[in-house]
Parts: sequence; C-alpha cells; structure tokens
Amino acid sequence: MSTAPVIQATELSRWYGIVMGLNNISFDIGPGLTGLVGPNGAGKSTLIKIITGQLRSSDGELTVFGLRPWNNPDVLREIGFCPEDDALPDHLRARTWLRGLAMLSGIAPSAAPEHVDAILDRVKLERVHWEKPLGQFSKGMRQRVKLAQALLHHPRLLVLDEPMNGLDPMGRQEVQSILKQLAAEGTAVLISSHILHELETLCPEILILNWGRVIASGSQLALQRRLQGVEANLHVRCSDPARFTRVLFEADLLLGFDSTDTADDEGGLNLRIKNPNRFSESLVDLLTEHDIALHELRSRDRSLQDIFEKMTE
Amino acid sequence: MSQDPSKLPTFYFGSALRGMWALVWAQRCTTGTFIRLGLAGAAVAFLMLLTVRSGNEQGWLGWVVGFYFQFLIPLTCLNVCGSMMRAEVQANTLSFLCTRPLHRHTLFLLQYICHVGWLQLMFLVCTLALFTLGGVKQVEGLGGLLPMMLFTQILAIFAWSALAALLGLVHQRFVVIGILYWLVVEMGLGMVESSNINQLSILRHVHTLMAQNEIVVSVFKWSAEAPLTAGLVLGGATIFFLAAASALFTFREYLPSQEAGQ
Repeated sequence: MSTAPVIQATELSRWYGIVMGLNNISFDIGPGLTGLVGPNGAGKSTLIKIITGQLRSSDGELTVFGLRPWNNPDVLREIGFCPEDDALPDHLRARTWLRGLAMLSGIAPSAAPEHVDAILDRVKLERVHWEKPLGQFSKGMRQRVKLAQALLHHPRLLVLDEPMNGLDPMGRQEVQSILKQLAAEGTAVLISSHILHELETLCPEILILNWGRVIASGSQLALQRRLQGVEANLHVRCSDPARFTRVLFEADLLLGFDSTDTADDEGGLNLRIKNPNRFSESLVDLLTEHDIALHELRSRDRSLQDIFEKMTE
Repeated sequence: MSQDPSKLPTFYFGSALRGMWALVWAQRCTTGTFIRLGLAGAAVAFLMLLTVRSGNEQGWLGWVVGFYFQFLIPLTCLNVCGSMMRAEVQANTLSFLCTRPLHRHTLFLLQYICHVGWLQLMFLVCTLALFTLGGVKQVEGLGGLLPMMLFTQILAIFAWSALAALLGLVHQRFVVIGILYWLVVEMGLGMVESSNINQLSILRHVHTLMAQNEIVVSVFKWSAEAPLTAGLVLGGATIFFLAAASALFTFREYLPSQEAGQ
C-alpha cells in the first residue's frame, strides 16, 4: 500500500469575512483511518468542506491525491463524502435517490440498479426499506443511506462527518467494521467525530484542531509518547503506598497523588508523574533501595480523550 | 454485479443527465404537485368557461395569451428554475450533488435542462388542455395558432427559465428580484416605443413571434416585424443567462450558513 499523503495542506487558511475558520495550517494525511478531532468551532467542518471541494481556501493550498478539489472532477471522482447534516430529500425513495446519484457519479444507467443494491447491502440497510421514502427513515437508517451515497463511485478517499450519529451500538459496530474493511481494501478514511472513544478504537492516526489550528497530528501512540514527555498519569499498587509517594517526592518525580487503597485495590495509588522518562529509568533502583514491592503499574493516559483534553488545554 | 470502479468514465454527460432527470422527475412528480396543478387547471378552466362566450376569440386569447402565457408561465419558470439550486442550498442537500465528479457548471446545466424539460412537458399539457377548452368554446383559427404558440412557448420557457436560474443564484430573494425585473424591464422598458431600449424585453420578442398569427395581431395589435431576429434574441438571451449563471455557480460558494446571513 502506498504511504504517499492522500491529503496535503500547506499554510492553508480560510476566512469567513473577518472570522478565521482555518489559520495557516499544514499537515499530511496518509492512507488508512484518520480521526479528525476538535471542539465546536475548531474548523473541522471548514476543513472537510475544503477537502470535498465545497469551499475554496482563502490562502495556502490543500491537495487531495496531488490535485485541488474545487471544481475538479478528477479529484471528486476519488472522494466520497458523508455529511453530518441529517438533511436528505425526504420525499424520494432510497433506491431512486441513490440510482440518480449513481448515474451522476458516472455509473452507467444499465448498471446503476444493481450497483445501488450492492451498496445498500454493503451498508446493511434492510431490503424492506429500500423502496420507502427517506422521510420515513430513522436516524440510523438515514446514516446508512448517507454512507451508501458516499460509496457509490468507489472512492479512494472517504470523508465522514460524524458518521456514528444516531446509530445504535450494533449499528456503530457495523459501520466501524465497514470502515475498517474499506481501509483494509486501500481506501483512505477521514472521520470527524466527537465520540472520541470510537475514534480511539477505529483510527490509528489523529488530527486535532482547535481555534482553526492543528495542535497535534500523528499516530495516537506518538501523541501519547509526546504527552508522556511532560507528565503521565499512572496507577500503581505496591506494598507501602505512603513510603512510595514519599520516595517519589524526594526524587522530584511526583506532581500529585490520590490514594485508592481499598479492599478491592489494596495498596492502590493514582500518581501524576512529573518526568515519565526519568521515572521509568529510576523506578527499579528506587524500589530496590527502599524495599518496596510493586504489584501493579499501568498508565491511565490511554484514552484519546486524555490526549484531546491535554492538547486543547 | 456492481460496476468496476476502474471503468468509471471520465466524461459521461448522457448518464449524468439520466441521473439528474431521475432525481428531478421523482422530486417533481409528487401527489402534492399533481393536486396543486389539477386544482389550478380546474380553476382556470372554470373561470374560462364562465367568462368566455362561445366563438369569442378575444376573450379566449385574453386568458391564454394575456394571463397564461404572459403571467402564469414566466412566474412558474421563476419559481421552478429560480429555486432549483437555491432549494438545494436551503435544504442543505447541495453537498450530495456538488461532491459528484462533475464540473460545477455541468451540474448547473444538468439541473437547468432537467427542470426546463419538466416545465416544457407540463406547459405542453396545459397548452393542449387550453386549446381543447378553446375548441369547446368554438374559438376559430386554433389549428393555425397552436403550432406557432407551442414554438414560441418552447423558446420563451428556455429564456425565462435561464433568467430565473440566474436570479436564483444571485440572491435567495429571487422572486422579489424577478418581479422587479418584470416590472422594470419587461413591462417598463419593453413598452417604450420611442427608442430601441425596448429590445431588452424578452416579452417584446415573444410578442413578435406570437404576432405571426393574424388572430393574435387582430386582438393585441403587436408588431410582427423581424420574427427571425426575435427568435435569435430569445436564443441568445438563453445562452447569455446560462453562461452568466454557470460562471456564477462555478466561482461562488453556496452554503446554508451563508444563506442564513445573506
């Protein structure tokens, strides 16, 4: 699989009048699953609209597969877009709508019906709903139809804005499995979502936006390592919690702690470690020197939520 | 079997036109549309039957040319083609179209062709129904008037729809702008006889084409001079409005958020 960037932004800015949507951002997004994270107003929707050719940049450049997306069928042929908004032409039947869009995407009229049926099967929309007007669809069914229209022309880049909205847990799992399968088949998938724990399990790569700027990008693992250079949250269980915290304070490694010492968590401590690298280097020596037995040590900084909160602090 | 993605064509106007036609047809052919059309048609037919005496060409032409042709058709064109893109923006469904692998001007032209196609079919049926009523009312000369009226109607719908599509892209209050345009250019400048500024009026050229029929001339006293020029002007105006609208849609972003602030 090629590792060349699928999306490349160079000093990209976008203004809405005097309001800045994106502020001089540069990043690369490669193949595979990438999560786009940011609070409201961070610029996620603006970025997605530029990527999918619905908006132009005010300054700088964004390319998808090396080309600018605005008014460019060569790029749009490679992009599938599933918008966040729940707006669908409610009076149209799912099949009719998708067949029309399939033909608009270049599928031959003779092939469109079977093609649409195959896509509807792929997104697991039950056949009984295919001939119903979209206005009668539940939110979860609407999400599936929106996903289906994005897949109609077999895009090499799939851009999804809050694709899990309105889906029940089983539906979320099914959509996740579809997206993983697409990624395995070589489709680059960019997912914007506020459900961070879903992105955490789905997307190895993350792009975090805040106030129109990229504040972090890369693999979740790399971002965690970056954060761990500053501080880390750990949970330990040891033979002498009071002594262990004192030792860590004396070694200038501890920022704070909570005791979680209960019957279920004997000798338990939540620690805020000041310098994780130095901590890991000196831990064995400190334990040996002070004769403390360590029963458990695990990181509490595992979630994307932690990364997101720390990055947007 | 679904189509092989590697075999998707790079240019496929015919297929795209079929797709857009399927969407527009499904969008327009709703029970509500047919009920509204039926009620409007029944109301016009009822009023016509009530007010037009048998064999009265003037009364019948007053309805068909004065009301239907000069008022109802352009207003419907304004409503249908003015809203064809604007309604998608307002409903937030334009992204489904704009992200298809088509140039923006192609997308606009497809929308225009399909909406005009729908209008042409609808008004063809309406015109035939009006002529049938004329036959019931024993209006003379209908056989000679019908082909000329249909020919003019087709050209006029193309031109008015193109203008409406342009106005729809210019501003969300396209109906107000359209009515102002109608009052100022069509009804105002178009009626000025002392200079050639009246040539700006589409309606004036429509009158010229209609005036090729003797009954129309006898009732409305329109000038029948230079019908070829009138036809060319209608065609030229259509191309001009479409080119302007295509350029506008190509270079301007249309987002619901901007719509709210417009």
